[in-house]
Amino acid sequence: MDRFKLRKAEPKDVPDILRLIKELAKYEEMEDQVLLTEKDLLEDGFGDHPFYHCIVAEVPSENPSNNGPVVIGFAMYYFTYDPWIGKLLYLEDFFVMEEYRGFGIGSEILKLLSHTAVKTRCSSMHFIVAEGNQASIEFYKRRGAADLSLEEGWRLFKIDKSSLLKMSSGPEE
Amino acid sequence: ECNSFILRKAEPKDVSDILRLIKELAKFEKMEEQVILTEKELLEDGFGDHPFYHCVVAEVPEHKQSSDGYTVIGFAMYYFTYDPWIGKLLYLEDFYVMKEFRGYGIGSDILKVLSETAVKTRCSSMHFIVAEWNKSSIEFYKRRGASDLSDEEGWRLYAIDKDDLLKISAKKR
Repeated sequence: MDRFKLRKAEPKDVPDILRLIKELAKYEEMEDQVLLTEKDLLEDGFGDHPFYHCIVAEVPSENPSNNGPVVIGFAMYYFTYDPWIGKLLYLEDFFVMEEYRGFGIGSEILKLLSHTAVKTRCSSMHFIVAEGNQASIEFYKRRGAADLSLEEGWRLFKIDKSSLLKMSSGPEE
Repeated sequence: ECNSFILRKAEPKDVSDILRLIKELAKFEKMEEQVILTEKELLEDGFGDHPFYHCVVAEVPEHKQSSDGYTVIGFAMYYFTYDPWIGKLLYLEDFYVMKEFRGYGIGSDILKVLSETAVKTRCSSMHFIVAEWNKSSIEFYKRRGASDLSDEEGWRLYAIDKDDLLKISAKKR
């Protein structure tokens, strides 16, 4: 199983990207939380100002009636900014379909991401991992990842839209 | 008394004040020597063809300047991130008001402008990290509806630093 190819996503990949986002969400038992549409993904990723970037992994199709290759894995990332050191690459989603695991596809994706980070002069690659996800934690730790939540005590917070609306229209203090 | 301040989008001329305030905030966290970013990088990265960050600055009139002679006395640095389930998010990276100008509602107003920006650019949520020991900041955000995702969802922030990125990108398959 070494006939796979990694490449930058193109607009035509949007349905596959959404399919894989949903598969990964299903694995986390959160499939109904995916509200994003193909239209959103197209506008947001392939317009004047991309809000995300994707790498896709494809393999030749096993189905004789299907001509083209099949997309079986992806990574979604974007650039963030650390006020102390500048640009960072932020790895948002990373998934290889179950039947294609164990062939080094994930490692190659991570290698390409690392190369992209270095080429674009990023100081580091950041990402979050659920504390229960031992397999992923090991995968990343083997490659030098450090748990900033542990080392530096950072906790991720959010303010949701309804609270944002309240704040933006609230009375003057 | 300080109710004569304005909030505005940062301009290229603000870069030295932004760096000064980044260093002041880092000093408050006892990490001032960790700020290796330069004015040149802030200028290229924030005001080039593709901004990697955005800033809102708080400014007071000259007669109300700080004890060390500055009129730009607070800032927030943010950028846009992407959630594969819901799309665009606004990520608040740094947020600081000089000590002598606190207690006048400047921070609240900055947060209000950020909330308006998030809603206007169709972001579903605003994310940011807070150090778990920073009780006053945690309270400030919780009063405005913030929830601790690290607590609720067990997310931990990881980093792979440049040395390891280089190692990964140079490894043979």
